[in-house]
Amino acid sequence: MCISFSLHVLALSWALFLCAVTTTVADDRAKLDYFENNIRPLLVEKCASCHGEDAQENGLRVDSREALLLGGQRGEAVIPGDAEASLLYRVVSGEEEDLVMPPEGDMLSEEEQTHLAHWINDGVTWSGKQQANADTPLAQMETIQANHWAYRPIELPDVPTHKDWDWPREAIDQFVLRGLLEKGLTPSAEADRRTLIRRAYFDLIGLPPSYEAVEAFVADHRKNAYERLIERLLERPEYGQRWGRHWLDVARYSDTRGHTNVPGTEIRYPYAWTYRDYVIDALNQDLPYDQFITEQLAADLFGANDKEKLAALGFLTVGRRFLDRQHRILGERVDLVSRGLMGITIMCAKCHDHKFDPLSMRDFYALYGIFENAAEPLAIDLPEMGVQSQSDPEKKQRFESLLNEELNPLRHELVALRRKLIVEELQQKAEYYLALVAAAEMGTEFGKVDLGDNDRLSLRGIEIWQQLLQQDTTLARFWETLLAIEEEEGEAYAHEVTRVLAEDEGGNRLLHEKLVSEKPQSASAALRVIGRVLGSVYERWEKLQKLDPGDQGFADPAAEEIRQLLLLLAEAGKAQSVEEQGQWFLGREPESLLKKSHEIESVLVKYRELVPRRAMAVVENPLVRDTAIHIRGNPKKLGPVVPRGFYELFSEDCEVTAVKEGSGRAELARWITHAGNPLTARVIANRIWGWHFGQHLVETPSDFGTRSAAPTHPQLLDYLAATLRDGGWSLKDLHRQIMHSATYRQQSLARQEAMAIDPDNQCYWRKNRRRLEFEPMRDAMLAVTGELDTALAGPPVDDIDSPRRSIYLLHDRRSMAPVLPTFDVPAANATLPKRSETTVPQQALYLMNNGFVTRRAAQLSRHTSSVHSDAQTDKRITALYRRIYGRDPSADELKDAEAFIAEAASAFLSRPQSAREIPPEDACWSYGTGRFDTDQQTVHDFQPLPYFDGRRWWQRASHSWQDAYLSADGGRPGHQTAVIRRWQAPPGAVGARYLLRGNFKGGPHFGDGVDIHVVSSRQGLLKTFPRDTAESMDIHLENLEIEPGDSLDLVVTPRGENTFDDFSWSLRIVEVGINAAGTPFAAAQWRSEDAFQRSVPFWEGGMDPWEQLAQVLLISNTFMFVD
Amino acid sequence: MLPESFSSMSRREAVARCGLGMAGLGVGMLLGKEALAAQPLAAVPPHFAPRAKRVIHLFLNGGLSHVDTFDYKPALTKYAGKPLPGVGPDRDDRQGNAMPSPFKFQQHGSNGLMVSELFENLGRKIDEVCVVQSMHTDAPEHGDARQLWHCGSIAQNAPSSGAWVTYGLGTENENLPAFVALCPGSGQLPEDGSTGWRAGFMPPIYQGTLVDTGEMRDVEKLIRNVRNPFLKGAAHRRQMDLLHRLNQRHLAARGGDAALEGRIQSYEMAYRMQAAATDAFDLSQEPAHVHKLYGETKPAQQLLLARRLIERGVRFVQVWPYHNQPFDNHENLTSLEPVARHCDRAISALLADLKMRGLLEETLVVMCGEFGRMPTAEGEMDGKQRTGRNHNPHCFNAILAGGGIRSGVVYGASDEFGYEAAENPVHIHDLQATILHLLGLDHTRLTYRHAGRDFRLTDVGGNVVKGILA
Repeated sequence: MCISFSLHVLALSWALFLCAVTTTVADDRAKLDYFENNIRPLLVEKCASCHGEDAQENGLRVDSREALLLGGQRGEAVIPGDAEASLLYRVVSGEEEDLVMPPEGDMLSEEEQTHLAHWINDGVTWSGKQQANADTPLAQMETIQANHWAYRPIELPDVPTHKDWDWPREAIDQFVLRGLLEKGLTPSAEADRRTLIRRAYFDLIGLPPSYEAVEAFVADHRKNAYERLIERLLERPEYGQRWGRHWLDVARYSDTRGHTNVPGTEIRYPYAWTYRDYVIDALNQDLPYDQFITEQLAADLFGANDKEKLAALGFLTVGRRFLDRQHRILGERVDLVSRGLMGITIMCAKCHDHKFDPLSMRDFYALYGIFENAAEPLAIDLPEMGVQSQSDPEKKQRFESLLNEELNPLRHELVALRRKLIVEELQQKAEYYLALVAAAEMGTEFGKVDLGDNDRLSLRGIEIWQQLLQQDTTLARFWETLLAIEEEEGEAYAHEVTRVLAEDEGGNRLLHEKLVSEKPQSASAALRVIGRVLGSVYERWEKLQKLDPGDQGFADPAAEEIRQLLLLLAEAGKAQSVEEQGQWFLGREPESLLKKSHEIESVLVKYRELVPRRAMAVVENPLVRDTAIHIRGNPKKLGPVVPRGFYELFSEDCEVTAVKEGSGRAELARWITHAGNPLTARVIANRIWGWHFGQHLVETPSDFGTRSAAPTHPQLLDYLAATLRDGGWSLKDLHRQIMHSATYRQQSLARQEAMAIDPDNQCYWRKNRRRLEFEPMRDAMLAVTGELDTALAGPPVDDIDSPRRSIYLLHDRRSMAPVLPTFDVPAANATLPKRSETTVPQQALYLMNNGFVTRRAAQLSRHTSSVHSDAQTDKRITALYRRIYGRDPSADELKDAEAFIAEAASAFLSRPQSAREIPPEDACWSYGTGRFDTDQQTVHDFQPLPYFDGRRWWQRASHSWQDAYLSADGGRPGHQTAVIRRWQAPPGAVGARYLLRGNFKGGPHFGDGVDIHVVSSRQGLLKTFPRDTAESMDIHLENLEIEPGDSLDLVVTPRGENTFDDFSWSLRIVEVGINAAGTPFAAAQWRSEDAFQRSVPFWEGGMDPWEQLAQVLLISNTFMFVD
Repeated sequence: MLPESFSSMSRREAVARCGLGMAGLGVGMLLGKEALAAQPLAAVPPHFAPRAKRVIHLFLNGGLSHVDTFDYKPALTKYAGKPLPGVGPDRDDRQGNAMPSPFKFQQHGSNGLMVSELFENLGRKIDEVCVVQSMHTDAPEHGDARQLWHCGSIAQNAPSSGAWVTYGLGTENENLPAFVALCPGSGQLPEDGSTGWRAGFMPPIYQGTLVDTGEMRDVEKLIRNVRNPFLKGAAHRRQMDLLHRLNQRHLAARGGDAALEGRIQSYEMAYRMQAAATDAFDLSQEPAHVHKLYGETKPAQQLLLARRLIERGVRFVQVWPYHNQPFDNHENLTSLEPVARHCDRAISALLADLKMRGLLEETLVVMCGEFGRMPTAEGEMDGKQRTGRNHNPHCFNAILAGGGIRSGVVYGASDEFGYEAAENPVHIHDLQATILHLLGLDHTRLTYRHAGRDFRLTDVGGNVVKGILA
């Protein structure tokens, strides 16, 4: 026998079946006539008054095929091919108990009923061109397309000229000037050099220029000094970090999955950040925009030899997970691509055709089908992109050991579990796999095979079954015998089966009996019978194994023969490589497998700085299938199947053809980036313009539909879009065009006469003043103190106070650091058209009072104090101004600052730092490292922690993740050393009773455990509390004997390693007094936090005047706004 | 109790009016959209005279059982342990055997409503509240049902009702957020995250300010960054004065700019908020007898805080009695008892307190969950018969009191078993429309444009429930 066909053809036939409807032209004509003669008049006369254009009782209308398929509140009105089950027929024929239609007047005649039944059974033909309602946008598609500005082809408009004006530098300016003059406005003068460089820096790289950079630019008298500046900035790697952040808003980038209700789910994506790094890199390379999009949709399909490119696919996968509801996830991807890339608001069409734009449910599900056929592998199957650059050999070594210890066992468990599940599926679902193999053999489309709920079997599984049938087994003999039967279908076939079996003496009894008793009437039915026998033997064997695991097999030779077959199958299933396994469950993983995968993800997240990088990619579904329309968006109510495709509206513009193989992502990328696509270039040109000006040419950047406001400068928009498209899609060229323009270089000062005409600056008579978004604000604060870490790439940092550039901070869409939403950072639950810009007091509270800001101020003060002594007030003020604003203070500003320093200092100096007394109760605490001797049960080598960074006392100045530290209410032991919080009993504490109270809790990724010892200098070890888990535990001790001069050591020792041993331990020591009534009360107490805050130099009762001044400069409008 | 008006107040109002189309406010005022964007919380007049100015919403997370509280069903005793007789539509969820309430009911008030012992305090006040017995919703699962309740739609990114109200009316108190959500999560959010107070597709400023009431004794844990740890009193004022002076210089050099001015004012507001919030959120200022009235439970302490907030002009306070789903009692009803009793005492205290202070007339108090529960018992699980109840979206109760609500009314009715709203059904959109109506807002006119269409809280439904209006 020969079963040879390529998998490729197989997948293709599956898809083709679902989209092809084969009827002859003559047939069609006759059906249409039948409809026009017998059905349409009937629907119009009897139904349309209540279910037509004017009224839709119970949500039903009967004036289009789609409407009937959608139905009303009681569900679909017709089921093509099945009149008996169709509500429309049932209500007119009296078969529906509680509903008879029409409600008044005569019932339909018997003849009419017969017509209706015939029409439904014949497939519900509708003459589509003459839709009853010609008012729908869909019906008017051509008109709308010809008239709506966004749907017309993009053509390069003629550039206007203005002979009397030498203001214009670029074509942009000619368009802008025309608009200005029409309104009686004039442009503003060019901004000065200082303003221009600051504007260009923040705009292109999101960071402030240094004083030196500003001075050099001011002194640069070359004619093209400004253009050279722009070039330099475009070459900086920080450009990608700044503009990458813009793009991540569109791509709704986040490092977490969003809310989940499945315990054990790892909330973080282990590899989302590789997508963020891809974006930054692509922008820095000036990857042409069409390619940028193509890679984000389909990098895997364009022979991405460069593994780095696969990370681009994170565009699709870093979205929210909607409690893992697949239809929401896929719908969101349709939204992302439609609104994000093309300004199409398609989500309405998830449930009904778009009300205003010519977009249909078919469009929505055509795109949905594309994404449904792109599956997401489990984390361990994601494509690897190489190790992270690791300069530290120690880290590398640790990585290898942790792989062995933690990751490998889990991987092995997952592989073993998946192998077991694969074998189970092959055996349990024999019936369906055999049916598919049979279909392949007989040239039947897969789509015709009824698979019940098992419609997503594995293509690999079919291959395995085919191989099995090629081996010399009873089953294979049967198979050949049955396929050799020449009778086609019906009872004759069943007879023939019985006859053939009677001759087959060596055959299998179980199969014989079943085939004879079930009388299958076709080859495929016969094969299903065989499949069911296999399935039942499998179940019997399962049960037997449970009763007696040592059982060696069935006594019945027929059953045993089948069992042996199943074992062969199991062998084949087990022999799968890990890569082949990865092709199996794609998106239909059983829960146990997902759970295991999440365990692995948790380890990957825990060691995110060390594990090899992987792309958060999608892969093609091996078995491609089209999607059925979800009636009213309900995934459980399916309507007609829609071939994978694109918006009908743009099918000609973008030369859309049927998707022949695969998901269609490659085609989608081609359509979106097609030169004839009227939206893509307009949408990105408008976005880039908006990010430069803070105001868009089209006010709604993600909605270019018919209800959106027209562009303020339609020709300018088309000019930018056309030059972008025709000039190789270079975004950097677009930046140049915009930033070189006179429009961009204008001053931002308000001019009263212009304000009166155009208060919103719709005509661009000046450059808008911009407020810094959160990221450049935060980055700029770190930049002016010299702390900013702009290193490219790497896993997200989850410390909001880290000096890392903001784009690298962890974004948790489920629970964002509170400061982020306060400053309008989006939750990234959907693609974002543009950032809101709110001004709320919570922002001011953060800037006035948060430690992040005051620490920056302290840094600035320190920097300038090392250069200038306090006596040189003017010089030190100037130094602050230069660092923070890149310029010298004006005379007035200097005067203000001097007056402030003088006044504040006199108040401050009345309580000089050096003379400030530490309250005795605070002097009790010290912070150090040491060793706990388990034999002698004492503490040795207590060494104070010498370095303070404003929040924590550290072992070393260059505090790394292995160094010990102590904070106000927590800490971490060192690599080999314990961390010790020591309390010294105050003088005078005689004969009192003391208590220790506190709560210990491990950090989020608590490592291998710690031991906590409470050691008294008088009594030795009081108690040891071993901690294996992060769970919180009370640490309480009573009746401590403490005399003046005694000390109490609170020791935390690491075990094997300390890396994730961070803990919080808020504690207090209480002196117990007894009042007159004999009731104990807290006579005195020493809290770890209070003392900590007061006993470090930084936190000593206030900020000095210089810190206060530095903070004012940091949070002022001068800092926050760019002219 | 409202703070004295600050010079920026009149300025803000002027800006708001300017945005509404009134001209002639001087050159500095001619700033259009920009100004409104900078001052989106400016008080806006309602559509018509409001009956209530503020809302306190105690949200019974998980779905309070109506048949064990305010909807007494003697028929359940008759059919106890048996399937309910086949009346009404045959639905999948109409399964299990009738389970009478294990709690004692007693007749109360002039309307003679039977109220169970779980709400005995509120029972005694039944003449002061309105009970809607015919609520119904569209979704049988918590997530969707809660989103429907809070946002009126299960659409992605639909804004919450508090956001709608803030967008519609602005704020009354410059020193505090207009919309506050209280939830004792101790770092954890409720099951659906911030859905209940989100701004959705509106600007984030309309989002409710979540206050985690896990630790209520420390104001600084309730409101972040509310205190400067280093600068106090005169020193802090001096620093702010310098900032103000520099910002004014910066502004003057630029010929006026609403965004710059807005930000200058926001610093002043924040400076005042340090005092206002520290005061508003400090429960220790309440005298002992008030604490005693409310009690020490989480719902009580939060409602007390809610009262302090609305007293100071906060417009909308949403209270989650506990952060998880305390009213989702599938297993047995013993878990319902303590939380119901806590809420009973707390809300009774709140009503008494508001009345005493003359605030009840202008405050709308709502107590309701996302749906009700079945009159039948849950089936077996792991071989054990369960004595809890499943979700019931077809019928549940809402308790309303205060501004514009007709007290002593029992509105609508369920069927014989409390399975389905039978008489005068009130859909959640109807209740949402009614709440907006009481605040002086027409729910069909309160629209927000997003993605090319106008949205509203009540989606495409909603009728004001006239029968419960005073």
